[in-house]
Amino acid sequence: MADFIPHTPEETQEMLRLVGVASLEDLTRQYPSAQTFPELPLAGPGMTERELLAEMELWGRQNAGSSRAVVFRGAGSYEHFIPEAVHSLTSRGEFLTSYTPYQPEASQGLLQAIFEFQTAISRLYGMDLSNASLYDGATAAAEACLVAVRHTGRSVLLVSEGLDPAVVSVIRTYTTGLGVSMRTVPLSEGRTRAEELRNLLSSDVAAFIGSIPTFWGTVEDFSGFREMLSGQGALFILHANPHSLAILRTPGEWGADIATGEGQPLGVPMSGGGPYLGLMTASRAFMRKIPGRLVGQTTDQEGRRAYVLTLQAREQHIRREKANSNICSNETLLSIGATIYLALMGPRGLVEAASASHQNAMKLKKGFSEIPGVRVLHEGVPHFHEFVVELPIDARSFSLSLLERGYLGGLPLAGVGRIGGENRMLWCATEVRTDAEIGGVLAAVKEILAGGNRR
Amino acid sequence: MPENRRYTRTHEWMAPSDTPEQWNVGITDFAQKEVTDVVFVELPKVGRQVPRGGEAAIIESVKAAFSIYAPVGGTILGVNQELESDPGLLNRDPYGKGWIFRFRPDHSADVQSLMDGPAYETFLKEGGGHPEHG
Amino acid sequence: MSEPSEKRESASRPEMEPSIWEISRPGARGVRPVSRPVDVTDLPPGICRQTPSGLPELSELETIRHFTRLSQLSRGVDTHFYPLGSCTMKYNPKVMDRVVSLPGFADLHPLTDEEGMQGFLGALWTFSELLKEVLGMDAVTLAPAAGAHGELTGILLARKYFESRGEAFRTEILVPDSAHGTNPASAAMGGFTVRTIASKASGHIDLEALSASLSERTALVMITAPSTLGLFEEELSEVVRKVKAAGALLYMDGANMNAFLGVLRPGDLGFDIVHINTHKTLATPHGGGGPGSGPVGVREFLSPFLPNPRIVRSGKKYSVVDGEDSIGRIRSFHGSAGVLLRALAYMRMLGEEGLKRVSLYALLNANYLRKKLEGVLPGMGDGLCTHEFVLSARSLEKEGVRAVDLAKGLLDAGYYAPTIYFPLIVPEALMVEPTECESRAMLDRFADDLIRLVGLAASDPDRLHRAPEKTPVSRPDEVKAAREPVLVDPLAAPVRR
Repeated sequence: MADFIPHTPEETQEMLRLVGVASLEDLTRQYPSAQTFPELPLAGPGMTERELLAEMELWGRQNAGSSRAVVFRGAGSYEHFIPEAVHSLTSRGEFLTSYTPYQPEASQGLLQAIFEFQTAISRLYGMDLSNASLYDGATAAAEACLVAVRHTGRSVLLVSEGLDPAVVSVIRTYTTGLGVSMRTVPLSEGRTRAEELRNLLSSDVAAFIGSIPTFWGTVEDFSGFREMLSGQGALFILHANPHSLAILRTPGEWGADIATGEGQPLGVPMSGGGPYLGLMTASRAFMRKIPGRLVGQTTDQEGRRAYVLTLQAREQHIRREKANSNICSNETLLSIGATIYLALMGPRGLVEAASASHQNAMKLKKGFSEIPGVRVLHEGVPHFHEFVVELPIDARSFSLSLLERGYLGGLPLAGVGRIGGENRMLWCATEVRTDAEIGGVLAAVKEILAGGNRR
Repeated sequence: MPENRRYTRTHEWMAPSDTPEQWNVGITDFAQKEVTDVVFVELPKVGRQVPRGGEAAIIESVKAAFSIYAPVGGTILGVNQELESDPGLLNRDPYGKGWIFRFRPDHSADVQSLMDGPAYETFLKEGGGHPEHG
Repeated sequence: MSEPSEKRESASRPEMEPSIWEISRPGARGVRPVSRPVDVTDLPPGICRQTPSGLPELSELETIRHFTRLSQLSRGVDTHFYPLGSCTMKYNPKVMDRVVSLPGFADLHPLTDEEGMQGFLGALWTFSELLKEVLGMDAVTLAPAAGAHGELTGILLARKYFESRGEAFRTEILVPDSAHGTNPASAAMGGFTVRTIASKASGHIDLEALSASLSERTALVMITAPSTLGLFEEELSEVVRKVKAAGALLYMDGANMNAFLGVLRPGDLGFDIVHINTHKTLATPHGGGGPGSGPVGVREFLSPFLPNPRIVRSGKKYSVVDGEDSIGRIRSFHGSAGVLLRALAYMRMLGEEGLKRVSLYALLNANYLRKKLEGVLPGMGDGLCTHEFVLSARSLEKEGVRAVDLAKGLLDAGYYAPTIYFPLIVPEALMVEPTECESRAMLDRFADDLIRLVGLAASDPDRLHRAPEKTPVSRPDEVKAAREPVLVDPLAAPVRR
């Protein structure tokens, strides 16, 4: 049994004496005695480090991680190259085991790292400013919608069909009970038509939220959207993959008011789905309206550069029920990891990685388009690093066949919105995929289609 | 304490503005001391109607937020834009340049129900309440 | 006679680290992600980025040094005693870091077919079962990414529950004035009106105030147990009775669970919903402000409404399902698995006895430290405290010394300061939570140092006003930071819009 309690029996006795109780159990007399010390059989006898690792290893071995199945699946979580230094630097105890920098003088390093994160992310998104992180991309998108509702006093949200359905689901949950309704702006051939948006725009609309790239992998042309929306007094929100912004037109360049994103591609391992990193950027006009912590640069009593948490009067510990959000803890360690990732990669590294992702995905897409019986959707529309294919057979069992051959193939899209379907899959290739792997998975696809499902 | 003003138990003052039927509202010196350095003022929307005691504005310090209430029911007709670029004005000149908003009471008679200068001074001496946190 | 302040300008302050944009210079490169870079020529320029990102350019070694030095300018539990009240800054066992980097965890895609995720789903399911047992609840969701996220989840659960019973007229949530700000903020996010219940002077819930606020419009009453003052509600059973009689649900904010982990179960106490902060009670690292996680336990009748997706077990097989009556998704994927697995590891290592010892020693350390500080500063409550206690620095007002000055003095003495100015109902509050992981020697040292600083308030208050003197900066101008916010580095290129 592990413990982490440093007291010797003698120390314990002396301390009990000073406190004036006879035993440790006596300290619990302030609790209702009928309920104290329940039996906890599931908790077990405790373990040593070795026993624990052995048990956890057993769980781990039953999972098809990237070392066992080559990853061709994205849909919101991506396998990217993560430089070793990200892990080693974020494992440093001063970062890992510190807490919110309420005492700025003792936390200047942490505050500066977060400040550099805010700067880097705002620049990546082409926006004026960024907060210090939210829980994940989906909750960030939801919070952005709430900002729009509060700011405009309106109750309708126009949500692009290009937004990840899981993100849409979170927006729906977050707007429950607030009298807000959501309307879908459909895609045609993977893109939003300006007329569709115009038809749905009214003076009730708080915001339109679109996606860069779309969940289906296509890249939209948002020309004219900003003018259309601000003409009606509605906000323009864009939810963007930060990896893609190395080469795609940024939310800032499109004129977004608020831009959110999932920061997992920036140095965060896939980790079975979390913890991830919510990004929120905005134009200066929304500085006091956005949720989340903000680090500001200032000076101290003697004029030295110093960093502090600022604009805290928006937050829960001060405004309480009138706060911009209830968020307190966020994803600081991952935001520092993202900053380290961005610094190690640099602008050129980011462009190289994003370009390689795109090229690899296009190779894979071309390979699919050459397989008889397989149709690649949204032909002729620009894609970033994901695309949808339609197979002649059920995608779910197809996926299992691929897994048996050592590939985590595209995501089966049964029941996933109008563009999904039982025979459809969302495929992804990032910069880490090699030509051999791409060739290998295409060969496996052909083999399965030719020989039927060999299970 | 400047003449011709009325005061509330929540430390707002009202003074006649240059326009008849319209009054300026701000907070007293006692209140600005309690707030300490003002960093931001959330001003009301012009045209808004507020009931008596309704929250009209919010004053932020580094560590707290304070509600400013309409002394009597009325319509907001103007706000002090200078506070946007210089919130410290509220601390430096709470009775003059640090006014917050101008409004027209629904019933001018209501104004008389508020405390006058001497009554407010007495209220403070008797331990009159601290400004509420917003 | 004391020296003029200019002479005392300390030469011993550590240097601040330059901004990364100061080190950056055009053309410098760090890692290379691919061996043969390619150009993208097939995307129309109209949808491509035109303005440079302005991200910093530096070599790998420069990046390593920069962030290593930044870490050295911070303090963590690994380096300092961190008695932040209500944060439970306990030791984060290093073996937990190893656990999440085992093959099959860090490198697992969240949407892997179920057949390829049985170990992952099984581990999380096991963790849920353990939490059910320790919380005394019938069902658990692992989805919330933090305590506040758990609160919002619990509130949305209550909403859906009452809707399903035709009681949507329950639009109010009651919160004591001693509550953490997240409680009322979460209630408002959930679309409820918040009513604040005044506490008694002792810091306990005022039962009369509670009765006066309870009505058929009450959906939920949120209690922190023990309270934010480190006191266990002596009349909790009465609170439970009143809340149930009004037809409302009772929520427990579990931020302070380190006070009775393994010793008391919220379910046994009468709570309907409870959240636990794994980054507090279950020793997952705080990370400078996250990631954490806030699993929520509920009674059976609330189980149908839990967030999607859920992990269920049938025989030896684990599956992922969506519930028909669920409140929906509250985040992407399952949850902060990397954090949850660490918490599972912690509970498995401790076992039943270890879990109990956590609370017993948390109680011992807090009561011991409080006893050592008796008479130094007034505190709240007589008799025993739980895992934390509150002191007030109000008594030092006449010397012009405030809680913040003591906190800064403690920074110089080599600690992280306790929580200050919370809870709001105690003036000049210092909230001290030592946790079970600190040695007696550390507690003795801390007590001695705090006593010395309180003594300085009388003999040399200016010394305290000048603190901290050993940190790189001292008393940053927070007013300026709020009036003229500088939220991006002025050295980074401005964004061209």
